[in-house]
Order: sequence, then C-alpha cells, then structure tokens
Amino acid sequence: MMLNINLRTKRFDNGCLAIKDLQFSAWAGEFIAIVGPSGAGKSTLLNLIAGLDAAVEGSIEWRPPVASTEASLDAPPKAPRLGYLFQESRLMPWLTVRQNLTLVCPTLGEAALAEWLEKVGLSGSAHLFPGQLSGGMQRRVALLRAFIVEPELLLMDEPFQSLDAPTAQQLRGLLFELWSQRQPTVLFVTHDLREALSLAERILFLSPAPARIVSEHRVARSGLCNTDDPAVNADYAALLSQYPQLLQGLHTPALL
Amino acid sequence: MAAWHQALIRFAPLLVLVALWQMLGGHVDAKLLPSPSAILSLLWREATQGDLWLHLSMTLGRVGVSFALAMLIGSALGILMGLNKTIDTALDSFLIIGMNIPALVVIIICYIWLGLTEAAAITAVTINKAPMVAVTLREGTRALDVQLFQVAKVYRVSAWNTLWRIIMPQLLPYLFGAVRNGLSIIWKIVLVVELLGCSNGFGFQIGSYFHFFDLAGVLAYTLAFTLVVFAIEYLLIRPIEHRLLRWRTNP
Repeated sequence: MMLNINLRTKRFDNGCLAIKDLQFSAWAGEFIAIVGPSGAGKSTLLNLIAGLDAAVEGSIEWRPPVASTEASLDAPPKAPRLGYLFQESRLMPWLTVRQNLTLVCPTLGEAALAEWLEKVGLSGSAHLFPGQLSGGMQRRVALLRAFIVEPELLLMDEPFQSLDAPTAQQLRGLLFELWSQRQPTVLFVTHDLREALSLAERILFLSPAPARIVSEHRVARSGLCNTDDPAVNADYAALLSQYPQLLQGLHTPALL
Repeated sequence: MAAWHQALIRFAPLLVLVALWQMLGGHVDAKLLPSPSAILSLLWREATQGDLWLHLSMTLGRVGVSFALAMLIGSALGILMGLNKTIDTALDSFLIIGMNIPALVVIIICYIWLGLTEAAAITAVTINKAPMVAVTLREGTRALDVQLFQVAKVYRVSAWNTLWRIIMPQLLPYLFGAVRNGLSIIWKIVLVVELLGCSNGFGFQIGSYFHFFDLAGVLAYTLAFTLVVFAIEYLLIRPIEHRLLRWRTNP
C-alpha cells in the first residue's frame, strides 16, 4: 500500500463541512477515479493530498513503493513527487512551451524536450506562448508538464471538462498511454461516470458534501475505451440498476 | 496599418499646431509669444555655443539617480506591503502622508537639513516619488494569481524561479506604469529642485530666463526637455516594454 488517506473532518472556508470520515488507500501505479456530484469537495480533497491546504483533521500517508527494509519503518514518510492537472491548464502565459516545461524540470535537455513534445503531438511548438495554442493543445502541454517531472502521484481535477468531446477523448487516450508507460498512481476526479469507467481500474463514489466514500467499484476490463464503448455502456447500465440512488446523487446539486 | 501612416496620425496634429503658431507669430508681441522658428534658433545657439549639454547632463543625472532610487525603494516597499498584512498596516499612514505632502515642502526641508547639496536634491526627489511607486506595486502584488503559486508549490519550483518567472512577469505592467508615472513626475520635481537650490541644470536655466522675463529662453529649454522625453519614451521604454510583454500582443 503506498497512499493511505484517513481524513476525519475538513471544513470549507465558510465553516460548512466539506469532508467527514473519508478513507481510502491506493496501490502503486493504480488508476483510481473519484466520482462525485459537483460541490462534493472533490477539489478540496485533491488540494489536501497535494499539500496545498494543510488545515485538516486526519492523516495523509505516503509510503515509497520500494520497500527499503528497516529504513522505511522509522523514517517519516516523505512527500511524493507530484503531478497535478487542474481544471484550467494553468500554464504561465508569459513563458513559452519550452520555458513552461523547464520551469518545473530545469534539467530537461533539448533532445529530451523534442522527444516529449513529439510524444504528445506538439512537435515544433516549443517556442510558442500558451496564448498561441488552442485549448486542447494547452491541455497537452499541461499534461506533459505533469508527466515530465516523472511523478509518483498524479492528481487530476476534471482536467478535460471544458473541452469538446473529440478533443477530450484524444486527451484521455494520451493520458492512458502515458500512464501505461510510466505507471504513476493516479487520482482522477470527475463527475462524469462514463469518463471514469472508460479510464480507471477502480472507481470511488463520493457522497454530496460532507464527502465520504459511499461505494467502490472495480472495473473489470483493462485498457482504454471510448466513453460510448459498449463495455462502458454495459458497466454504466449495471451500476445504474445496482445503485440507482447513488447515481442519482451525481445528477442533483449538492445538499450542504 | 503601415508604419508611416501611423507616424502621420501621431505627428500631424503637432505639426499643424506648430504651423498655426508660426503664422500667429507675426501678429503678436514676440515677448509674449515668440515664434517657433525663434525658439528653434535660440535652442540651436544654446546647443552649439551655449551650455545646453552641460545643463542637460546635470538634469539627466539627477533624474536618473533619483528615479533609480525611487523605483528600488518604492518597489521593495510596495511588494513587502502587498505580501505582508502587518507591514502594510504599520506603514500605510506613511504612504498616505508621503503621497500627499507637497513636493515643495519636502524640497525645502531637505535643503534646510542637508544644505544646498546634490545629496539634498536627490533625497528630496526620491522621497517625493517613492511612495507613488510603492502604492502601484502594492496594488500589483495584491493582484498576484494564487493559482499560479499553487502550480509553483506542487512542482517545487525554486524560490528564485518563482520570483523571476512567476511573480515578476505579473508585476511588469505595474512596474511600467510606475516607470512612466515616475519619469513624468520626477522631471517636474527635479526642475523645481534645480530652480530652488542648484547652480546648473534645466531648472536653473529656466529660472535665469524667468528673471529677465525671457519667454523664448524658457520655451527653448522646454522644447529641449520635450525632445528628451520623446527620445526616452520611444527609444527606451517602448522597445523594452514591447519585448517583455510580447506574450500579450501576440495573437
């Protein structure tokens, strides 16, 4: 087990409960989707795990995957190397694509950069500013930025939500490919169950705020599907009949 | 739009004004309104036979030093106040006083305390300008994007890179605002400082011409002054600004 989350209480700035008794664990290299209605505190959860927000009762433990015998028992768990895809691409608009990438990875060489750019279909874009790229291409740069640091833990906060369907599907394909090659642990937050079914190995269902995990579903298939793939449709229908109320929660506004 | 077309739109109104002025020249007392040609020839004489360059270099030197000091002190103060609420609260009253106390008062106090020295002149100008820079930079610091700091934290960007590649680019428009404002105000204050307590510089020269009610002399130096301002704006500030804010103008 490498990531252990055990959060007792977390409040929003306005004092409302955001998270109450939320627990789960993730294996090394596992792709987990976290599905919940909007306003359920999904972004809050990711920010806590990323260490951007420390005001919480509870613990977030990270155990490096390499079991280095006696040392790992005494040494305090170190923070994982992180990649984070936000809802917006959050590139620095005044830095070129190359500069945005060397900002997070100062040792990146010219050859490695060219190889990475080609891998994500951005060859020849190194000198462009984010404002000169389409929304989909900006996401590619942000995705590349997340993978270029060789993350152990990759956090994704509805990263493809604002894109049109074909672009989002392309990017899901790219994400899946990079994940298969590099095998970081992924926590992928979304409110789109089909997106979760098409990507993840395991899906955690969050309740409306205060968030806790109400159910868990292991996806039987391996490999990426389209969101309208028959297998995804079958899973979707099965989950819908099994937990009608659970999924209803995904379509109603959060009850605070 | 072609470059010459833009230049035409920019400078035609000025040329029309000068032409009208020249035509008016024959009909009024030259002591009250010297013609542009008279001013130009006086300026030429000052430049070739007089001390125009001495006075220009003295004034430019004072402007340069006090401008650099005001920008440095003001920026540091403004950024600190923008980042730290306690410092902001503690120093806010000084900023309000500094912004509103008349330049003349500061100049006189500096001359009385420090004597009629260069140090007094530069101190006076710096004290007058620094609070304005601080207010602008404080505004800019408050507007920094928290989301980009989150990116820096997640990806463990060094403090140095955070400062130069994340914070400074966001402050640049405010810095340029302060530079423009700064230059225009500092010119004016430096001239008053020179008028009151220096024996050279544009302010001193304009003061001398004033004693003889010599409007042509006053206007000749004003013209020289205007030309220098244009040169600084077009040869220095705009090219730098264009280069640094390239990412905003590109489609």
